[in-house]
Amino acid sequence: MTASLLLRSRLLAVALVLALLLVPPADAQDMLRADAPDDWLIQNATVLTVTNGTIENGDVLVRDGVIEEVGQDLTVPSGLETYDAGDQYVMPGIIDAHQHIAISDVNEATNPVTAEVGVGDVIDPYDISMYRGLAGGLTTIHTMHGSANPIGGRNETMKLRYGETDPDAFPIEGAPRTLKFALGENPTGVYGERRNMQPGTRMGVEQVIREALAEAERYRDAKQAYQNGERDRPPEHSERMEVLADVLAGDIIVQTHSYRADEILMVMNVFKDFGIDDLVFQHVNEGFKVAPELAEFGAGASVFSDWWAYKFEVYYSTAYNAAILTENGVNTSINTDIPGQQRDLYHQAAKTQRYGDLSDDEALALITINPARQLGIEDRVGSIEEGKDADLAVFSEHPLSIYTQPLRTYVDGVVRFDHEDDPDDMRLRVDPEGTAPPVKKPAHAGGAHHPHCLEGAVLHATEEGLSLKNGLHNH
Amino acid sequence: MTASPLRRCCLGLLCFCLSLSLPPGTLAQDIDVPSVTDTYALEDVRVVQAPGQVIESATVVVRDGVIEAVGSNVDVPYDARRVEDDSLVVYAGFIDGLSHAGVDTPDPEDDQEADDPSDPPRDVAGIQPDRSVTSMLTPDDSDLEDLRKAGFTAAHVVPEGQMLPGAGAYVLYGGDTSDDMVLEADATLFAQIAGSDNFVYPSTDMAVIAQLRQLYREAERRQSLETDYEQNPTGQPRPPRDPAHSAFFPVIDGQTPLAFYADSAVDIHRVLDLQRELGFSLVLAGLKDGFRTMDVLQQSDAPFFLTLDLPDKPESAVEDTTLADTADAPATHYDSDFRTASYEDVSDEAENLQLRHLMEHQKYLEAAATLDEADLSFGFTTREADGGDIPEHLRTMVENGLSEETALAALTTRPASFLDLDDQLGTVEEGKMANLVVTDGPYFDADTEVKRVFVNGRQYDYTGDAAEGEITGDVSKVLGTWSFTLETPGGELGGTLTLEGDESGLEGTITIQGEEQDLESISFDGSRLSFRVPSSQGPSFSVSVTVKGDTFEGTATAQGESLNISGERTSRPDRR
Repeated sequence: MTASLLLRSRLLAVALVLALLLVPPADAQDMLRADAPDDWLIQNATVLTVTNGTIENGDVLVRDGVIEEVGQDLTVPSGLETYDAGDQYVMPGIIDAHQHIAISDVNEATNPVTAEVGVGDVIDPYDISMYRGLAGGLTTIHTMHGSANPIGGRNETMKLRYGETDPDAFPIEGAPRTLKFALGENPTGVYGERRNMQPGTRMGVEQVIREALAEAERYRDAKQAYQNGERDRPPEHSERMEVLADVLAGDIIVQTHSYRADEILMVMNVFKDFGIDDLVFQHVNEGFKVAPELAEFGAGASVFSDWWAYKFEVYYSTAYNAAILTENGVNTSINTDIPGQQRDLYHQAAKTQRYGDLSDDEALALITINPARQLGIEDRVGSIEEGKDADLAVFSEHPLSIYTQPLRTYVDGVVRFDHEDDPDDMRLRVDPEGTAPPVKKPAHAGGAHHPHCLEGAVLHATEEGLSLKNGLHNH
Repeated sequence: MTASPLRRCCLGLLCFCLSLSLPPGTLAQDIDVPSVTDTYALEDVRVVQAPGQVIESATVVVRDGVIEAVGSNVDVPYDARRVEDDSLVVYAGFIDGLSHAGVDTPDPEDDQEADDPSDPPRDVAGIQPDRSVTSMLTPDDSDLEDLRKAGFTAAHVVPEGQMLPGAGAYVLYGGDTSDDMVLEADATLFAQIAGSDNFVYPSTDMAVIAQLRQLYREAERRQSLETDYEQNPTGQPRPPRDPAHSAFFPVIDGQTPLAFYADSAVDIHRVLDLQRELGFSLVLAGLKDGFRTMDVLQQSDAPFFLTLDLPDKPESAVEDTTLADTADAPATHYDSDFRTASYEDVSDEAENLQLRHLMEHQKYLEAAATLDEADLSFGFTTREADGGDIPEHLRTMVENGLSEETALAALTTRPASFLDLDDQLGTVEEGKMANLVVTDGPYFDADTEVKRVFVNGRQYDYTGDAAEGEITGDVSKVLGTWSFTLETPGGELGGTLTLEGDESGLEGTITIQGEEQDLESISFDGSRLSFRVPSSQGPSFSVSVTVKGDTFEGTATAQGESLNISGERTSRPDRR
């Protein structure tokens, strides 16, 4: 009896060991984060709330993706995942108020007025750029229509829920709609110079905008008249005028690509004429010249930290722009615009301390609560406050330190970037016909002449595969 | 009407000879050959009436385009052309859920340049919902022949174009005229998320979506004005009318579905979002990435047609690795946690990447089975597939988990029901249209060939199509140039034949009255030489002769008619 039991248990043990050996190792990565928890207690961190100061040795309790409590020495509810952030910094998830990632199209550059199109209709969940943003503490983007048209398309305010595959999972529920306007050389270049169409000048840009808004007024009035019974038939339906009528009604925030002070003043004058209040200027490199006027209008400004001179209208610029605008009471943010640069906004914000002596909170506000206000989502994101979405970025050092390293990024309480769990290939899909081109092993024999065989080399990992350029034969 | 058998025979043979000597295609149009009979009897065959419903050793009688009888105890009519072969299997003709086969879409006029890209002419913008595919049907399109050979007999065809190429129709993949082809005109309105080619509005996907909303909602307004006006015209201005908006009226009424083609996951989502928003009834074809979007597909009640295209297997480009051993089961060797620490790991990274591509490729091969397991009911679309690849692709899907019964249902009964043609098509039953596929074995077996296809009772005979030629004899016995004589009722016809090559394969040409044509499927077993002379439009014919020394004798066969052929070798290749 005992012997057979023993035998059986031995057999069982052997079977167990075998079973363990045979089970394939679980995927190190669940790229979709389908079953990832959104309940967390983050402990012992320096918590940079941005709106309510800094809490040393602070804890953040997250429940169902929402910040439930912020404080010190919070009790650990049973069964909750904890993260010990001792010596680390937690800040609100970073917001990039101007990007063009995670969408299939940017510009419908065939018509000076395209308010009816929207990048929200062409969200691309498979864009790895979102993961790259997450790796820089980014959690929310305002992904925008391009600047070809005086009145471009609708932009989209969305969370970087990378891993979701349904495009409808990204937009922030209830975020106000925003619409792209663009001034200056981009529209005059596309239409005036290349096509001999209006607008060919800055005057023409103003005229295109005024005509479109005036048409929207007529459209709105005709619809109203029909609803009041003063008109037999509704006006011809116009997707374009529907959107512009909502701009007139104050339901849509206009985001205007701009550089020069004169055109910035122009748009504010046009909007005063049409009674439109919700206005944010993008780039606004000469904003420092008209900062009081911007503050008086209540317009926001989303600027580059220190980028200019890439075309004629962008020469008169300064790295003090963000600080000057901030000091003048303009709600100011810093953005990146260029896909690929979405990962180091914390460095860009830090530059305002070198150029303008902004405080830590002022500098961090440029990439958190200020862009949240410009997008009308400040009740959801942009600071670490109870009741807000648990969008959090954990850094190794203070995020404004040049030595800092992003460690973890939470979106709605879900860890969507973890420095400890960050393999090379985080793409959600690859080309099924793709081929990795041959990579030659470095020739060690000739190493004496080429001790740094990858010096000057560029390693390209694309959907088509991996390629090495200029590496081994770069003399 | 009482043409003597001799005369009929002569005519047939004359046609045959002409088909050799005239450019292909001349025959069918110029000389009206009456069929001997429109009644066929397929005897002692295995009949797959519907998926899972088989009658062994049955007879199928086809008369005047209709299946007159199916069963074990069926009398063969006196006038039937009889095919008796117990190795044959008869299936219902396959139905193609969406394609451009047999459709010759007019090219846009070259000078259609838009002066104003913001407001281009509708056809330049790709907005042509008022066109109809029925005016573009071309029964002699070679794509039709390729698809018929794969077993397809009926289809939903649509025009080519951009966002709104025109109305689709249900058609037969056979017939002499475009009218013969049409089963139902204007059955669908075809749409795609595809911007204009000419950099005019709408040039992007987002603008196409906006333009579809615009057209749809304005069409709704116009239709309600029309309705109002019809009831009470007096005192009202006539409602605005144009064909682009009017084409949407039956869609708004729910009578005509919008048929979209969408392969990528994002396009599938975009189409389904648009449908939810506007509320039209939908037919969705493509779905190459459908296995990534199953949640939303499950919420849709649209008929689905899965592409019969499959991606090519990634070629291994990694040298000197163990990849060859791991390629069969990439998932067990792939390291999802791989990190390239130094340049020395680059080739390991490339290998890992290669495994990922192989895993991804595998997902596409399993896609049909994956959709089926999720209870998504689909037919197939051939739009992105070559007819010749289809049997192999279907086999691949079956090897990767799709049951043969489901595959057959997706080719026959399901599309028949999706297109609401199940009273006419989809099964081998008495009274159904005689659309049949006759094979020499189970369709999904590797070496099975389609031997005959019936479309509306008309037989397309592929029994003469040998497979790849096979060389098992000493080719030096046939290499060189031969002159031959074909005995026709109208007298003897001469020509030359040249053969070159080696044991690995023979190539050759035949020349009759100055017309030269390449030979196909050349086989030689040491004494028996056979080959096929293809024709893109007229009937192809096959030749089979016995070689004795420098002479041969045998027959040339086309459409069941045979002629004697004899030849003599006039030169051999130079010996070097």
